[in-house]
Amino acid sequence: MSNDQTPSDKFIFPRWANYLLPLIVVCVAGGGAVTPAIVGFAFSANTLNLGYAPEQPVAYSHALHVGELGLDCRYCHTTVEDASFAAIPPTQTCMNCHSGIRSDSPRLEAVFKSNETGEPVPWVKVHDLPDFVYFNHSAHVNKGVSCVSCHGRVDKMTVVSQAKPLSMGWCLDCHREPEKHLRPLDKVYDLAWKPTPEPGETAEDAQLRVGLYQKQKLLINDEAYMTSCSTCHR
Amino acid sequence: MLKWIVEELKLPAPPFWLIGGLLILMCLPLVPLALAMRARVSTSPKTRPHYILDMDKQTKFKAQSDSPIFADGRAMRPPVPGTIAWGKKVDAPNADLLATDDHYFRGYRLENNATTGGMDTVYYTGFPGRIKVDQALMLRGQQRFNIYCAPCHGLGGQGDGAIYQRSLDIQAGWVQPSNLTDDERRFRPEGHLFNTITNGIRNMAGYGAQVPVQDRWAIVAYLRALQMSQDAPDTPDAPAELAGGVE
Repeated sequence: MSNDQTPSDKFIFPRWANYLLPLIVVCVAGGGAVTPAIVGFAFSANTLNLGYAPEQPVAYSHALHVGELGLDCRYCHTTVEDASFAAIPPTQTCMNCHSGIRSDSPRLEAVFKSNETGEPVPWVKVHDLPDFVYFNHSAHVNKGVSCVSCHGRVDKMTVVSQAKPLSMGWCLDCHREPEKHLRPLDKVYDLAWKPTPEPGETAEDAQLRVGLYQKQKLLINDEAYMTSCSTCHR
Repeated sequence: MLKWIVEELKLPAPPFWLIGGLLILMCLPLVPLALAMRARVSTSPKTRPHYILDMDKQTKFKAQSDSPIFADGRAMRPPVPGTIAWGKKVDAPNADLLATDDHYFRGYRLENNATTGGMDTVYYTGFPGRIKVDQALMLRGQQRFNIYCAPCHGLGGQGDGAIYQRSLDIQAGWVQPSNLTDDERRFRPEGHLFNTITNGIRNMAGYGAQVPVQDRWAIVAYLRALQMSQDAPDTPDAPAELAGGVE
């Protein structure tokens, strides 16, 4: 501190303080723009819901059973064509094969225990919709919506994880333009299937061609019905 | 820009910590952004964060949910033994309890044996009256066969399915599934085949719980077609529109 400084100097703003006003303006304006964007991004269904892969009581691999051995989805999820719910199979379905194959594996202990006691295996639900959504599996798979549209390539998953956001906006994307996803009924459970483009046709155009055809053939409801509140909420 | 402001307004150069602080402030929003990006591309066993509950979780039970009320933890109650679900569907579990149509529901009937005094199992030959064997049933049978039977018995029914191949690969000592097209199976009555699908046989588990009655008969019909195809004549006598149509 120099000698010529008067005692009142310490109460005078230093000259750099002139920067504070524009700085505050920039922070408020910038923060005001950036914060909602970040919050919107961080709290969107794509951020919150994707990639949920709970640990299951048995490390069942869809990649092995479906991808490699070629089991059809319906071998286990028998109710998917007739009910709103694609049932988790009973222990007996596991035992169809595992009574003889890997029948002493410690990895299957929960299955064997369930088979002996009759208590269910406590599988953890991965794809969980809010309780006010009345999603119906049979209405979708019997109208040309493949499992892969909502569940992703389960046949490649060693551990099942949520591949799609399952948010309302995401549902509506398809309810508005189902032709982007519809396919022939015999390809619904073929997760790898893609429409074959005709010469000079892009993959998207091929899907639209197939989708629009199926939309007519399968009598898909019009957009007014498909986007009505009571179609999914009661 | 900054230089111009400093020179024109004759301000002193901003102190270092001011510039540094501003830079740090500008970097801060990148942190949640990076975390969100990571959450989007990675998997996690942790429960999904659920900030706005709305009425997402209601005090009701959905299919296959668990319940603290019952000792076995099931919210869905298994049917009481000896009862069937109330409804119109003849395919309801245990529907054969009420069934009068042995041929359709069981594929066999029990008959008194005067010599031994016991009961004989007599399998029905042919399809029950309420099954109409047509192309629709055959295609349904093919589809169901490929889902439920082909994993072990193979698409051609010869006992060479993917599960059996796998059991060989890992040396599980799994008995080879029967060749469904051999003479033994070919000359079995339809009712016997139906009962085998329903209740299983030897190492094979019953598929009655997985495959409804109607579909089991469809599989039997398709199985008959598979068996016939095994010694079909070289010259196909199928109608032109069907020849080569079945993969």
